[in-house]
Amino acid sequence: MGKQVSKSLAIAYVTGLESVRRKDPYVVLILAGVIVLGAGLMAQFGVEGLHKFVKDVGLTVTTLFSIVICVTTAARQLPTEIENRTLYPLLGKPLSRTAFYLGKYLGVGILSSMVVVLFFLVVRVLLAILGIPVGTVFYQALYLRVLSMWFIAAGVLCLSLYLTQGANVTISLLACLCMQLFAHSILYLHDTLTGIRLRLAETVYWLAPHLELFDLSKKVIHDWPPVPGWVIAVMTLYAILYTGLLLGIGCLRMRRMTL
Amino acid sequence: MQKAAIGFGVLACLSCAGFLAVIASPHFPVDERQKPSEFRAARESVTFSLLGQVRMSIGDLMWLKTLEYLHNGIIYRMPTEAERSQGAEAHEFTGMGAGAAHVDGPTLVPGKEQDWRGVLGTLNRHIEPWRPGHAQHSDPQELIPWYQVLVRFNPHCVQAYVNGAFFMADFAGEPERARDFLLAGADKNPWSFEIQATLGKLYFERFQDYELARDTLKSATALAQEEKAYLKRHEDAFDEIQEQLLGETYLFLARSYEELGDYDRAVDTAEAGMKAVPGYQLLRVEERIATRKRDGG
Repeated sequence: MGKQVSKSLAIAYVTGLESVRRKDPYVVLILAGVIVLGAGLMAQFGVEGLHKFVKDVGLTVTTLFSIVICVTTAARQLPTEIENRTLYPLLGKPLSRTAFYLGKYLGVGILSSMVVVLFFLVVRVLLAILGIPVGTVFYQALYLRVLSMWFIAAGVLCLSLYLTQGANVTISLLACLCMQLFAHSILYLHDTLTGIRLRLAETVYWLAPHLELFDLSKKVIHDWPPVPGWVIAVMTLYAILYTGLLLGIGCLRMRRMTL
Repeated sequence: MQKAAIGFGVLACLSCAGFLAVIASPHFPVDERQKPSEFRAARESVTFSLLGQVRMSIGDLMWLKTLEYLHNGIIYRMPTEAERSQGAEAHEFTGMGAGAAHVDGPTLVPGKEQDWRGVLGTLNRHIEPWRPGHAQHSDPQELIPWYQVLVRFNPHCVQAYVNGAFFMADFAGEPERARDFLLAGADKNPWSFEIQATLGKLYFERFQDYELARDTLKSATALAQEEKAYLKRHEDAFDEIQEQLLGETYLFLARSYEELGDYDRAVDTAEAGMKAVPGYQLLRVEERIATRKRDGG
């Protein structure tokens, strides 16, 4: 068990190295520059003291970029290993498929979390330079965004065992970026539905991964007070349960699939 | 070599397309005006509320952003038919001037009593901005940058110029900036009576330049007549906000004449305004005041 864990960590480390080799950090730095430029729109308009605008641009771009990076990174892990045939020598060693899969997950999770932290750091520095204060809710937003990266990584990695890379990226991005729209649509339509349609809508709502609940950016932008600690705890539990389920499905599929 | 040839071919095709577009575009006149009914539909549409984040028009997205800022991030929606049948009504909001008028229904995220989602609903109410009761509005100064961005994307969004200038002058206390903003809008929308009317009011109220106010407001009334005729041809009409603005235009024009000592014209303008906008009562008061002054009272 201990050996398998250390092997998973080694796979995670290699995943990180490979990302550096693919020059992903440059992409991240360029995107961080875009965040600064986007928020710098404010200076162009010469509107001083309008804090919400800067926070809005910074956090919106941060959310978008971090999701795109997480999805694309997670989606390419397994197909690339299979396509390049680098998976076979790895599995030839005393390394279980589960340890390999979890190692990949760990690698993607750490990478995506680092990207989110970097983006938030850029936004935080920008806000500090412009003299815009941020409260505890900013750090809560950072925590939930990092948590969502692990959640998304588990989902995308799991889907990569069932779908082609292109289909996976498309579906995952749609799911991540449109989950709020989906949730709001069901909320709005709920009163107009009856019978089986109503039950179906409620079931789908309950089963769907509610990624929109990991987004506190609007509260940060509009200077709302921090959310209670128990909400953060419940969201952590929600992420752990859902992620565990997705990882479980992924590991089972990985163990059974013909390579 | 092959790649260079392909690149050259693409460039040549694009150049041809651009050239053809320049030749053809004058023969396909496009009306860039946005009619009041289109704005009403945009502001009160359920689809627009739901699709706020992925709407096709960036200008419309910016418009929604201004509402989001005004409501501190809380999303409001129009009541459903079922809610209407139970007596639920949307509340009209006109507290910040006619330009920012809109309708606030219930919050999109339901309150605890109406929510069927249990713990997910509770989490949702904590994660997303939400508060019970009617909409409360934030400092409108926060909206100004969005109006500025909006007109970059859609320079024909007249209402953005009018609202932006209103907030700049009244809330940010920067009439010069409001004037420049409106002048830029007038340059892009020479047919707009709303921009001229707002500019005229600004000259009157903030700069006390009555001659400039008179000339600008006269031009606004002429444009309003043209606009009414144009809308009539398109089976449309002024909305309430435009009617009110037209009434204000006549009122401030009459007051400009009054300030310049031309009481005859002040009375005539007030009377013309009463005919054009019969429901605007302040014109009746202005007519009485101007008549009294003319008669030496």
